[in-house]
Amino acid sequence: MFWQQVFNGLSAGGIYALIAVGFSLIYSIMRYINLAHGSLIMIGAYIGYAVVTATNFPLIPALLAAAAGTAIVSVIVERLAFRPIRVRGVSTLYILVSSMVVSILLQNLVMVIFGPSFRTLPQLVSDVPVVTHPINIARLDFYMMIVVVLSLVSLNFVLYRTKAGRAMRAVSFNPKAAALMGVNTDRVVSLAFALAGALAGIAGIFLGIKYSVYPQLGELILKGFVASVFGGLGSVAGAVVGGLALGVIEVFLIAYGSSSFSPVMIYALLVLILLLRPRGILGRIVEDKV
Amino acid sequence: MKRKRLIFVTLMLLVSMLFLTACGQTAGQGQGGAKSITIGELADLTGPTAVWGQAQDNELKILVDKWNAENQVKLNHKVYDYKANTQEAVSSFNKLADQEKVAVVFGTNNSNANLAFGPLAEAKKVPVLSHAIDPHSTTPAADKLNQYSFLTVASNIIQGKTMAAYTLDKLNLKKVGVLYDQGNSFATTMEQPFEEYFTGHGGTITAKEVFTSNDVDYSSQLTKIISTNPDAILLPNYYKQIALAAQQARKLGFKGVFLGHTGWPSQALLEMAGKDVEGSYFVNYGSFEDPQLQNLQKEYTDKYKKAPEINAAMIGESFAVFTDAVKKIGADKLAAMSLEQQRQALRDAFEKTRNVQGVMNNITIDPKTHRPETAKMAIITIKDAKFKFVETYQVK
Repeated sequence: MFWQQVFNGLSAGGIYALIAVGFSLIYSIMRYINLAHGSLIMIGAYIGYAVVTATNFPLIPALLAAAAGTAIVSVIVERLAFRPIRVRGVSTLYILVSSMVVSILLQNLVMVIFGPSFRTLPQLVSDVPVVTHPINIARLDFYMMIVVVLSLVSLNFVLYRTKAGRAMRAVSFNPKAAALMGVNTDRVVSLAFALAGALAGIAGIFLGIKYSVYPQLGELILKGFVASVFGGLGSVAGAVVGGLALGVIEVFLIAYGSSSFSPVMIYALLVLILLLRPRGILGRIVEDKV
Repeated sequence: MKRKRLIFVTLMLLVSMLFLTACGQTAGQGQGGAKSITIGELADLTGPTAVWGQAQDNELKILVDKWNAENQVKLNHKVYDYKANTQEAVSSFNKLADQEKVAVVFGTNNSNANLAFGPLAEAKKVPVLSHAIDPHSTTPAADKLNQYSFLTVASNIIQGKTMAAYTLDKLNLKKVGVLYDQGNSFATTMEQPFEEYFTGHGGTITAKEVFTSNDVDYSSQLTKIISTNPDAILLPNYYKQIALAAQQARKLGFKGVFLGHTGWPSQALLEMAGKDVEGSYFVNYGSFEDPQLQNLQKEYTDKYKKAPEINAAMIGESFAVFTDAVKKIGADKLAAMSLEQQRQALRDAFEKTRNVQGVMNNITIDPKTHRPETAKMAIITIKDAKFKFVETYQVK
């Protein structure tokens, strides 16, 4: 049972990590929290649902379609809802509020188009487990972990091995200095939102397959947000570690503690970590620039 | 100028509304005269559970029409849509009691709504016949009885016992694990009596795990349950939670049976997890495959050109209790009483309900709990991704 629970934890944690990375990516560059990220994940799930029911695509093309579609929506959201506020140079608090509003707007938009009921994605992954002994590994969870690893590795590649990635990191250190060096800040921001959107689309499809597709699916980001704070807000590696750690801890609290107390314990633990190490596991100390 | 016009329009609207309500009242009294009894109904005609509320209201209309065709004393039927919303239920209840001046309120099927307006029924002394499931709607605490609230169908306690007895005696399964939402009384009030009966009659609960309403992943709890090797897992939850739990349990290699209650009968469950819940068993109030319900089904389908939901049969039970009370008091005598007397007389008669033949059950209301203490329930299984009626079963 021990190893089964470890796998359960990593499988839940993988999803948290995927969500947390999207948060952290935006936070590390823009220094604000995009609360609409959850709704983007939900949009990803619906795009996946619409594409699969219309075309019968298998898993990989469906994932690509959802990633591309959500990336576009994410860039549009930034252009319409965040950029005008950012350009005016007012407090990021307004962006926070704006992202909250966008989140509600997207949720209601989907409710109007698709209705409030649950939808099930057609079966994209076979039911036959990869292995059944000594632990049971469902094919879906197995594929999901592969895709999570691949996405995170490619994100790392973009950030550290490409010119665009270097520009992104430069903007993250100091947007003004980067702009003076000839970096097109607006384009970098759009790219960051596109990447975060693509990750949201991938997370959305997996969440949709696992937990069905419904307008409030995005509410699951709460755990992803917690994971990104846990790992260190603004650090992409921290988000991965935070996500996996949160998944495993949560599962072990249920497995070896009690399922009735685990929701209390997990948040108590988070408060404790924030008190002892406010920057999270891998985070750097963040100071507001005056 | 614009503002003046706005004020004028608003005033006109107010005046016309007053006028209309005044007309409504005289019409109601004129139509009723001395020879009528006003009955109220709360139904979720819109909102997420609208299919249930509409079925309830449709069937009550059939029953009232039938009564009015056969009797001198007419029933004056007032219905309010409470939109499956607790606050709306409270305000609609007040309107029925104070403005419509009803002698009795039928409904609802929503435990939370009944829990909310239960104290108002006490204060205003209006009897309520409901088919909600939570026993707390008649007995809010162990030593407290709501004098004016009655349940006419099997409460969650009977459901829990019935499923436990059926699992032991008919399915011959002795080891059961449980997974339920600890924040939902719909689940907890079924789980407790199940567990008490099951362990009291030779069964073992191998593991009992909980989750909270917004959780969607139960893999960890299920791994724990499956490691105790149960024959069956009881899932007394809402259909979405049942579907997810069944899918996740099968992925973890569980081969046994799932058991459930009235949260199960939903087409959405079959769509989401059809093959994962194959071979499951659950209790329901009744089944339209049961020959006893053929009449109701035919009348309903003839009139509305669509199949009824089980809520139509449930309101039938309440109506049977009501007509029995009216006949015992004497319809003429009841119609001649003042509103307060009518309400009191009906309440007292409901409390004495004995062996009244309803649509599904022979109803006896226990004066100590204001609900039936035993009831025949339908056992349903899932075969070829369809609900299938097995038999009716009554716990001894």
